[in-house]
Amino acid sequence: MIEDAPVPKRKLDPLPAAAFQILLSLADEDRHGYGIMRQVEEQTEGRTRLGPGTLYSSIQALLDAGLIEEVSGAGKNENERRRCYRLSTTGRKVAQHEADRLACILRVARAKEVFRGEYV
Amino acid sequence: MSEKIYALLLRLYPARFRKEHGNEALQLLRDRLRDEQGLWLRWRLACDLAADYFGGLVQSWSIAGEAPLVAATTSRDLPDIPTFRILERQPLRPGLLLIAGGVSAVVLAAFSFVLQYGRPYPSSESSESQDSPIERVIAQANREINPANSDESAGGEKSNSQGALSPGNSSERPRRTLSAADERRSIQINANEASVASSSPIRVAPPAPGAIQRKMLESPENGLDSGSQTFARDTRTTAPHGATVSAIQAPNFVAPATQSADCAIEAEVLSHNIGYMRLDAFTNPAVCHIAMRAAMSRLNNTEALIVDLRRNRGGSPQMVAYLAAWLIPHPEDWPAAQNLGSEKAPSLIPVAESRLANKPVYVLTSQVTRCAAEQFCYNLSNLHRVTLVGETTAGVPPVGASRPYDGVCLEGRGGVRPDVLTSAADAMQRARELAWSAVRGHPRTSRQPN
Repeated sequence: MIEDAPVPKRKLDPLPAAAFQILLSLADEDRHGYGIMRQVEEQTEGRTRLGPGTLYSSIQALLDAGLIEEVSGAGKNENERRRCYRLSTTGRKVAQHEADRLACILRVARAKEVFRGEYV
Repeated sequence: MSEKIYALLLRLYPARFRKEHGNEALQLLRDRLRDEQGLWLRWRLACDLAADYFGGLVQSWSIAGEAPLVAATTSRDLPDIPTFRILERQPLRPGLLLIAGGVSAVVLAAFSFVLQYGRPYPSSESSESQDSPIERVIAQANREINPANSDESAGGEKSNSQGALSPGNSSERPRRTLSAADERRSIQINANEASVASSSPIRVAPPAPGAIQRKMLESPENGLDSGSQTFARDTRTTAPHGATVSAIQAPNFVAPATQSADCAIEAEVLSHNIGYMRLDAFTNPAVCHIAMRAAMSRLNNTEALIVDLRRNRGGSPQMVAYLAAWLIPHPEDWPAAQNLGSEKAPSLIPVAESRLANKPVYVLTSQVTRCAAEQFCYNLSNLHRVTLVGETTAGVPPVGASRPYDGVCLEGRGGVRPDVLTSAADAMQRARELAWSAVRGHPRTSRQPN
């Protein structure tokens, strides 16, 4: 029997854009910081390039939130050991929730023909 | 260098951030530097890092101050029920504002420093960089007054020491300048050009005399002590040829308005249109040429001229020759101290605009008169051009000077005896009487041979 749990309070909604992009970049494979940055740049078509400060501040926040996990990874040589990150189960679910939210917004925009007939 | 700078900038991040992700942040920078080559990509990288630094700094500090992520969870973990953990954000802490304000102040201070001290040092030209500010101002004024002679110091056409110019053709006479070498051989100074080859000519226009000065000039004593004279000021000037002479003023003679303190020239028109010039020194023509010319121009229309050399201890031979050029009607041989041995004396060319060439001139002498002043008296007296009134001169001619007319060296031979022997104090009055007699047409007093 499920106890009546208090409805979690969402103090910030939606998920920050940088954090969401990081979660998306880790959706298909584990990556290190530089890889995350390049993936985010690619998936935003060059519009977003995460700098070290923003990237690792967001990574730290996601680690603290348990949305991502750190895994040890090796670079091209033994001297280049990089810290890699993996999307956690919780993080994947949060990313899905955010994606659903954005999809709902997109449907509304389509319905209102914001895109001027172009299908997005 | 970029890594080191960024490593220093990372120190502003929270300690936790530096500990956890400091090395990763530097590694990210290295990766981008490796992969982004080229001017455009490097410029874009710099912009990204600059924008990210301040934004990430604020974000990192805001996150560091937060409690670990506030997760909205149920009291029990239920399977397959997602828990939504929302990142909380808190308002900026005062510490962040302080950091941002400090960084902004530093940046503004750096810009101010660069703007203030980053200007290029004004380049100085080779010739003017050696001059003092006053000399540069004077040189600029001279160029404004006479732009055609602005290049005279750089060496215009050299004067011809043997050339003789017929008087009266001043309008067609070509410009002549003296080079430094020609100054010693020739003392032809064309007053019409109003220029002497020099490094920094200073032109002084003497002001008109006041009533006090005019009264003093006309007084019998003329401000002279009966006894010994003391000197209040000794202005050392260096003549072009390198000799050091003194221009000394007596304290009881107040410098009139017409006298330039540095040129020791005083010019005044006395009663009966008799000109009076007091010359306490033959100063450097490079400095006082224009002052002398202005004085002579002032006296140019007088009927007679009195030149007071009673306090003159010499000076520039060039200035001596220039003054003499105003007084001769036609070219004359002009022996100078530099002309020794068998060297032919250069020709002194009269000043074309002078109207004093045929007017009676009286030169006042005293025991103080010496050196170049003595040469002036001797030469013009032998040319029968002036009448010397006063005392025998000091007998101290310029170094090496000789009496070319009879080949006797002036040194040790005593001074030049005046034509009218009288005391120095009475010389002025006596000269005025002679001048007035000459102006009225009375015959002159005969000269006593030397």
